[in-house]
Amino acid sequence: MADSPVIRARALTKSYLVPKRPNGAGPLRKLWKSFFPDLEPFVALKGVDLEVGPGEFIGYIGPNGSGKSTTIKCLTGVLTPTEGEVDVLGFVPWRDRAEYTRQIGVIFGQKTLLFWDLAVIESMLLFRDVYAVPEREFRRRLEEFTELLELGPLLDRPVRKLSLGERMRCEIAASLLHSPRVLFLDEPTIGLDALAKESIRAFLRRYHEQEGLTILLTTHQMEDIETLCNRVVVLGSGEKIFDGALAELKARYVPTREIKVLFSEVLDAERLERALAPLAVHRRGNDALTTVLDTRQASTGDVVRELTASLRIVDLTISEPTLETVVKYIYNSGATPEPGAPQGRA
Amino acid sequence: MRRYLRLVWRLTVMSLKAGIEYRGTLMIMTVWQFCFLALTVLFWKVIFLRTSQFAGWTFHSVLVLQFFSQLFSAIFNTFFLGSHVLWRVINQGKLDSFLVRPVDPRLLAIGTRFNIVPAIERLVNGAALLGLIVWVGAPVDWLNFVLALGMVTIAVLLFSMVQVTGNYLTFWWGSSDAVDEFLDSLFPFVRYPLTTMPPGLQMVMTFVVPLVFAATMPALFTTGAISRPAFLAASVLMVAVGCAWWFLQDAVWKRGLARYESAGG
Repeated sequence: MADSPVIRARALTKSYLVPKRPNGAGPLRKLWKSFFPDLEPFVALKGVDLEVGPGEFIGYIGPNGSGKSTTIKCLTGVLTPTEGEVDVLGFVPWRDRAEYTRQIGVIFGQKTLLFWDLAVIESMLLFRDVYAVPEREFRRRLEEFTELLELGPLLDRPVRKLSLGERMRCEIAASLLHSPRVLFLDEPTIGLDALAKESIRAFLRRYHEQEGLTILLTTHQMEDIETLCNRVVVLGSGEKIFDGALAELKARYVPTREIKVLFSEVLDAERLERALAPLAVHRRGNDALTTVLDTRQASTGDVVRELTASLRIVDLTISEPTLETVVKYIYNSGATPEPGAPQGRA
Repeated sequence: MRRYLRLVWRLTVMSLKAGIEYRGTLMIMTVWQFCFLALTVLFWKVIFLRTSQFAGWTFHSVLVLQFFSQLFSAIFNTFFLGSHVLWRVINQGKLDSFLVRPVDPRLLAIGTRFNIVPAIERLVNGAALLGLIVWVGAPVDWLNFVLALGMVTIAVLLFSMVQVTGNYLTFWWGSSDAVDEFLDSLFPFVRYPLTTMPPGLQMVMTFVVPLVFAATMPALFTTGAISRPAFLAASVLMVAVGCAWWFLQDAVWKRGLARYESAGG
């Protein structure tokens, strides 16, 4: 991580007051409490610390209700945290809104920024005026995005007549017109088909490499994270449970490899049994084996060496767990998961 | 300031384009509004067939009142309709999109609801009323008329401040449509000569929901029923009430924003 973070959150806490259910009360009291309920705090974010360096592309993941969007909203100044400190580009987001929001771009995947009844270009012109982008710069950026995101045929169409994928491409262009230094993406690929997702990922990857801006992405699409992010933060029940490289996440929570072997004959049955001892064998046939290796118990190299010595191997595949498998494991096992989850398919 | 004016212009152009997109609705609404105005004028004509004066008001001065009420309604519904539905923007979390822009979120929340249709509807009505006022020979002082236009414009700002303040209660209550409905139900008072109402109600319409400046006062001034010093005093009072509402709405907005909870994921 770089020395001077672009985003710094310390002990970030956000709680809401929610009505308390009147347990064991009589009907009159229940009626009274349905109008005048007691309130209790619901803590959506529990003291999250986060530092993001310049140029990082960070994936922020967690199950529904884990606090991902709340974090984004605190970092963008939409919400005022209950406790904790936030500093993004030297600004306190909710206090320095006017200056701060010039420096950031935000996409809420579930909320459109464009005007439903008007041609896309009208929204772009509005954003030009909102951000006071000079005309020449605006034209240059719009041309650039028109080419990269293939917006040409879309600009003169009313937003309501665009497909979700087309709309999202326009939203991305609109959020980048003013050359933000930090981009917050809250589920940008939600509801999109495979082609649309790929097109958006390709653009984001290219744009990030080209401009070197800092991007924070929340998503449920693990492919987004695997394709785009060099660092991932996992959130569970409002608490940060992992922060590090993708490879480290996989190694820590699901340190396994799936080994598939296609063989023509068994050369040494006794040695084969010894080779298979540290493995969980999922399928074993006359000419094929599918096994899972816990890399804490034996190294992949040792196991492969034993297998090649005991079998005449036609083909051998070693796959690491997919991020989807890792995340499912973490979500299912709580905030402090133990390794040893089932292997995913590569 | 220049940037904000440019932004307001952009939003107005956008609303015009949106209005043209639904031109069928625009034409139907224009005809409907004209019919409604014709019925209102007919109603007052029937009243004044039986009496030449009603609490100091004549048919002519009521026509002038109707003109100003049309103007008030045109400006409010064109530029400030967003203040009437702001509670929904807050309640549904749509405020998020405005809070991440380098412009006052209130301007964007209201500005993105600019709607040119009421302006076009009332333009037809206003022209018809002006023609009628001249045709029946209503006693109009045209200099006073011009000054009264300024009062109507400020009255619109004032009423929208009352409305947004009521809408901000959504930050605390989750929804304030009841408050909004209540304020909306006061809107028709603009069409009536408020000096005919009981004194208590007149006080409310002056200091709390200051609709007396929307059409009643401008009509009285235009028809010479009140003098210029009295109009000046009323203008000063209106500005004072406006300042009070500005500070109140700003304080409520800031406190409300600190407890904003957004909505959804």
